Amino acid sequence: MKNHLIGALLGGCVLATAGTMAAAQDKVVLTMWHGHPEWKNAVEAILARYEEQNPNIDIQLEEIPGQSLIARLNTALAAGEAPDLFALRLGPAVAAAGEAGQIIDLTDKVDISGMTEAAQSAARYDGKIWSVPIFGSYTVGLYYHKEIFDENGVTPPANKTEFMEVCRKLQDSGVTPMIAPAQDGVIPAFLYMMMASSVLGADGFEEVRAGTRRLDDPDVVEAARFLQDIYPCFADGSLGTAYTEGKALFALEQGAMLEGGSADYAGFLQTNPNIDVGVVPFPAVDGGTPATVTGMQDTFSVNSESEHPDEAIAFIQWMIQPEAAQMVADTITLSNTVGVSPSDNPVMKEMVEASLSNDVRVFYEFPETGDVFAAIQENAASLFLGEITPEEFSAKLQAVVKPSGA
Amino acid sequence: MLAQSRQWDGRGGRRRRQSALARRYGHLLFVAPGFVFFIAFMVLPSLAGFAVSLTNWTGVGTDFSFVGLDNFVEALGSWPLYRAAWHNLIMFLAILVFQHTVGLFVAVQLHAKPRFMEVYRTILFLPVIISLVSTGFIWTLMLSPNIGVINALLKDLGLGFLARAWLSDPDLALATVIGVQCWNVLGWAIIIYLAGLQAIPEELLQAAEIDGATGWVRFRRVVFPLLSPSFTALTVLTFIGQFRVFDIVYVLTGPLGSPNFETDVLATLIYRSAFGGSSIASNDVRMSYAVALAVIVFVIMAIASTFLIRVLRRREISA
Amino acid sequence: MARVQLSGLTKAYSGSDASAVSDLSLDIADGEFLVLVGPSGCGKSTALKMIAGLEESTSGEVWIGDEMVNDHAARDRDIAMVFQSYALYPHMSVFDNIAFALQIAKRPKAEIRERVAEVARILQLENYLDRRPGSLSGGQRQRVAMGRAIIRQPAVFLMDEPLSNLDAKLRVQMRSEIARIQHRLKVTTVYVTHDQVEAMTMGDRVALMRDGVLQQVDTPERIYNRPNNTFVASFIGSPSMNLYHATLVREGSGGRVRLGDVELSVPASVYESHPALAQTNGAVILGIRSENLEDAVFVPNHPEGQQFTATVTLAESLGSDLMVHFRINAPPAKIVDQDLLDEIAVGDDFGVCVGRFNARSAAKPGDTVNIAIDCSELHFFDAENGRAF
Ligand SMILES: Nc1ncnc2c1ncn2[C@@H]1O[C@H](COP(=O)(O)OP(=O)(O)OP(=O)(O)O)[C@@H](O)[C@H]1O
Ligand SMILES: [Mg+2]
Repeated sequence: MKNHLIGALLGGCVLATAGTMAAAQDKVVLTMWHGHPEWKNAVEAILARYEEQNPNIDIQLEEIPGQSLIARLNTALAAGEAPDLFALRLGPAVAAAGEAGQIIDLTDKVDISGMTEAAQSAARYDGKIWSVPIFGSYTVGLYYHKEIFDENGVTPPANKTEFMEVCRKLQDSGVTPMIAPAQDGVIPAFLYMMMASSVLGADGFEEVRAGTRRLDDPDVVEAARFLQDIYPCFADGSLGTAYTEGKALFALEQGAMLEGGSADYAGFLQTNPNIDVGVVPFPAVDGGTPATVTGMQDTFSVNSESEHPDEAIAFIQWMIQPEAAQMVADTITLSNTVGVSPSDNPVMKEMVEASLSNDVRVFYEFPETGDVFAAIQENAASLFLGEITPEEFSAKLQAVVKPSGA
Repeated sequence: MLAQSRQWDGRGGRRRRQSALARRYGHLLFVAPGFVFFIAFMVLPSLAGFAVSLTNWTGVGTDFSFVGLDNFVEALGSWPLYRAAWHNLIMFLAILVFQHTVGLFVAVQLHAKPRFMEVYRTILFLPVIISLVSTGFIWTLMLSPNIGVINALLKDLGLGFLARAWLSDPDLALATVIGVQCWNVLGWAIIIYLAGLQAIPEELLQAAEIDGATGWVRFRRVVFPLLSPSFTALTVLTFIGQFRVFDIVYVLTGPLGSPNFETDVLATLIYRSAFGGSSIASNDVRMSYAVALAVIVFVIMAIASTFLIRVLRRREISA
Repeated sequence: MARVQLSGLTKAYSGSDASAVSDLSLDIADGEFLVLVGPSGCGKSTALKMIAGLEESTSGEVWIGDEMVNDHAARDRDIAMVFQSYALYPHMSVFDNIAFALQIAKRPKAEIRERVAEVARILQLENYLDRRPGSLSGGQRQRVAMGRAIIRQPAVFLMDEPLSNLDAKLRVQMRSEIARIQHRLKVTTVYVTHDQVEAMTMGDRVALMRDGVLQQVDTPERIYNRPNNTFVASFIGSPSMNLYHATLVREGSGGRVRLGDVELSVPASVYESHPALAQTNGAVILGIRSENLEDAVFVPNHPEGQQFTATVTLAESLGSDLMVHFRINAPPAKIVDQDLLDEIAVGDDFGVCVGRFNARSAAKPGDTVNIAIDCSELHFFDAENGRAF
């Protein structure tokens, strides 16, 4: 951190005039790294509001695309050059950083009582608060283009049978049923989590964590079979399509459906302002309940080497108050703050509704099922290509589950 | 003579000792700056890296314990390592052949100084100076089966049956990545061979001409053997380049070497092991394991390239 | 074996307006050893390459034997060339270097072995056949280059400064070796050099070029004793011929030449051997070879009108001779050539003259010495165009 400041000061000496130097010295500068360039406008608006109310604070935001952010952050943490505010992946990574003393223990410093149950439980890890999900949470369901559905006389499917029917109809009329950018395996992982959740439900998932239920139980294997069966509905070249490209393709109406989260909608709008989409829970395995999954968006921590920890903590606290939470809900994704709902965003409202029936927390935020996500990433392509059976696939996933009961 | 040296001795024994010391070790002074940097930025990090590979450190936090060679044992017993190395090997061989045929051929054509040579040279060398990330990005767009120009172009030319899902067809993806790399490295091959061609004295070629060797015979008997330094340089550079290729593969086919790991290479495997396969969630990241993989790759490459250089140098001399 | 004829051979490289070789005509007899000399850049290599077919001529013809070979490729002209750089194939053994042409011509292996052995014997290369050029000395490389040429038994040898990379001693040795080999094989040879000692000692005839133009082609003796013009006069011979502006006046059967404040009598024999002189009255360029100047002490009874005194500025002993530099109060005739730096002007009106004195002469700088000059060996050139009378 010191190095950062010295560097900034040196740079300042060369570049800045004496006047701006003085101004810069008056303000407390907080640095913040962020992994979502696609939210740039929304985040900057929120920061601007905060700076307006706190004229002595200058938050410098650096946007680094997700995957690079993690590599850079790990390096920066090891080198003691990480910013004041940053988000680690929720779960074991946060706890490890906390135990290593790299981030400040926020347990008694931030009041999260105004947040939703789910957000509170996500923020607490072994009773301690290391990080706070200040950019809300994301719920993932199935987006569909209303116009394409209307034109082809189909309605959003609720189960596998209906889905396959919709898929066939769309294909018959030359429409790509589903955009599924599977290059990095993230989309298949979300698909599977929703399919499995349609069988398990929130309680069943708890049982998986506890070890009393398994992902290779025959009824859960059906989720894997569903995943394998919908592969033909994917757009051409899905296995090689990158996540961002896929989102753009959907926004540009190159396919009728996309698995997507609440946070994606802002991005669609940026690509195609006239987009008209609806969102429903993902179709269930036949006999199950259509499900959504919910995860915490970037959970921010405060660097323990920060020169201005109090200011950074104050910012985090402000972010979960209704004012900022409302901005998040209106411009980015779903809020974690109780009582805040999107004021004028029908799609987000639909998303909230979709999550009412059967919403399950994303698997990777829990130590027991943390590795399942990566296992899906690694094995989805061979499942699609028929190199492994749904049974084998499910067994591979179960193999990395570390039940807490055991 | 004797008197002189005795006098010298008596006058300044100490000075003489110093100068002997300076004579023996003086040269070290000149390499010291580079050496210090080498130690600080190569040797120490490598040693530190090796130390990390003996632990179970995940990359975050400070919680780790010593696990000995476990990471190495696990890595050497894991199929993805061999799969990735195999892909590197295929890339190396394919690109090597490409450079030594197409690259050499184009270099020879350019060496004949055709009209508009500067234009050709610029066009052919352009890919080299474009960053690999941009190169990869441009090609992802062009190759996309949904929005790419390549398939569209094929269709317009009436060759629609050739249109493919280039980067996602498991049978084609590696070949496509190789193709993009060929486009990218052609400029290097040309520059290196062109330099080699320009270094051949004009009179040598004239001598061959007078001796009756022209065209292909002259190329095979005189020109090509004289290009063996270029051949060596290019082969070694390609070897090293292809066994550590990362950027372009990562941009084209992502951290998982999609589709279904058909384009997974050592560097993406190491990257994935260190930082995870996606920004969303990856809990099975193990920096220490990734470093162990990197150490394995480093050692094997060091041995292999030393061997390669030996063999090629010998060939150069006996060619 | 063949006669080589060049007629009106001209080369203008694209991109330069001056011709590298202009209108070169030469008739080289079968078996003759012709030396092509001239200062650097005068077009010698260009001329040779046009004969070889490595460079296309802009105009003019090349005949080898009875054939006009302008349109023949180099390999079809039955010539062999020794390059200034030797141009040995570094990746081949000495054997393969010598045998290369035969291998390309797909001669039987046994024949190749036999002929290489023969050549190696002539050139004393037998012990080096397995080596690579990189591990040979300069003289050995030079012989390999020769070997590569003679194994072909060509009609014509072309050699481009083959000795210029050797040290002085080796050069003397190789000079005679090349002459010996050429003599033995009797192959028509064109030998390029800019070393005038090589030119004088090796050639049957010497052709001197300047700026792409042939100045004179003659036997070494005649080119030395009867130079066509001041350029030839100053280029051939070491030290260069002393050349001054002077005035020649007819007087009886002989004449008088006025060189600054010195007057010398010109014997009638000079007028007899140079009839064109008779018409001349006035400005000329006078040329004196250094060996025609001697310390008068050693030439008793030298005619009165063939002596003068001068102040010595420098005396250099060569062991066999004493080279004495002295001032002459006459304007030197400058030959514009960057190669000939020994023409030193002392002011505008003074020149330095070099005489080759008997080694026992006592002349030393500062002395005023009496100098005897052999006036029957004086050279006279037209003051305007430098041509010999
Ligand atoms: N390839 C070329 N292109 C253009 N000009 C050339 C070329 N080769 C030679 N020249 C020019 O032609 C002239 C004659 O060159 P050439 O090589 O024949 O000289 P040379 O008499 O062999 O000189 P040297 O004694 O230095 O070898 C020179 O002015 C040279 O600059
Ligand atoms: Mg030359």
